[in-house]
Amino acid sequence: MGVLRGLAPWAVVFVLGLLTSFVVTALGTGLAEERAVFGVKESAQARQYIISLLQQEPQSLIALTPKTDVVSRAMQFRQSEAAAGQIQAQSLTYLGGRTAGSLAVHIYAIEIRAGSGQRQFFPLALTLLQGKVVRRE
Amino acid sequence: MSKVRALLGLFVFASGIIVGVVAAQLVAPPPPPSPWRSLPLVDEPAVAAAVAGMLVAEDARALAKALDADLLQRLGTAIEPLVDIDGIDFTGATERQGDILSAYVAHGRTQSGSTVIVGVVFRVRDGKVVGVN
Repeated sequence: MGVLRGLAPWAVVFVLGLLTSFVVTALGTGLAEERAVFGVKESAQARQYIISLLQQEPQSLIALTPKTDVVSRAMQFRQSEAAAGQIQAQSLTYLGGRTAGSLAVHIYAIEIRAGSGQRQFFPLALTLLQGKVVRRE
Repeated sequence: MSKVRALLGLFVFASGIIVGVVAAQLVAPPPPPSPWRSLPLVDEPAVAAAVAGMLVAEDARALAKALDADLLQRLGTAIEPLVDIDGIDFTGATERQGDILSAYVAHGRTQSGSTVIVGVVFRVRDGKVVGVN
């Protein structure tokens, strides 16, 4: 009990340092991202969304978009089923992005080969709001 | 003795700082690895930079000269819902079989005055803008 009491001030100092650096790092990273000081780090959610889209994984796509009604989700499954095997991704290139508050835009260049053998090379810009994809074009 | 305690306190505080920085990094996981190859990035095409400049300058006359009606319509759709463009940042470009995709993020205000950002990509071929997304 006495040992614990003796360690308590040190634990407080440790936690104080931990919390201070956690908050400063989180705020600093957010500010640096918004001003693109060191460029913008690719979002894990955006990359996962693109991978799910190219691999036709409707469950993942639904999880990465804001909650929608059951019919919209059923349509997502239907579209994925219809597209299964129709395309084959060849390359995926991250072209960068920016953040502004809770909004983030991440842009990709995608190269696919369609079922007919035709190659397509096109961009896809994702807009994310609090980690969910709210716009795709 | 008090000097030792102060040094120890400093050491414990510094340890807390290091653990806090590591924890903050762990909270934001890295993107999952891509199963496909990535194309090399290229320099910003001058013609796309010029069109981006016209957008920021709100130079409608120059835009009308630079892009045909179809591309202007696509550009209008791409920048929705922005009505005032405060700036446009080039984020990256890549090339495949003569087609360069040059990506930008435009920031500005909507009709209601709220600040938003949107992604715009120009497709450049043979030194001309041939597509807008």
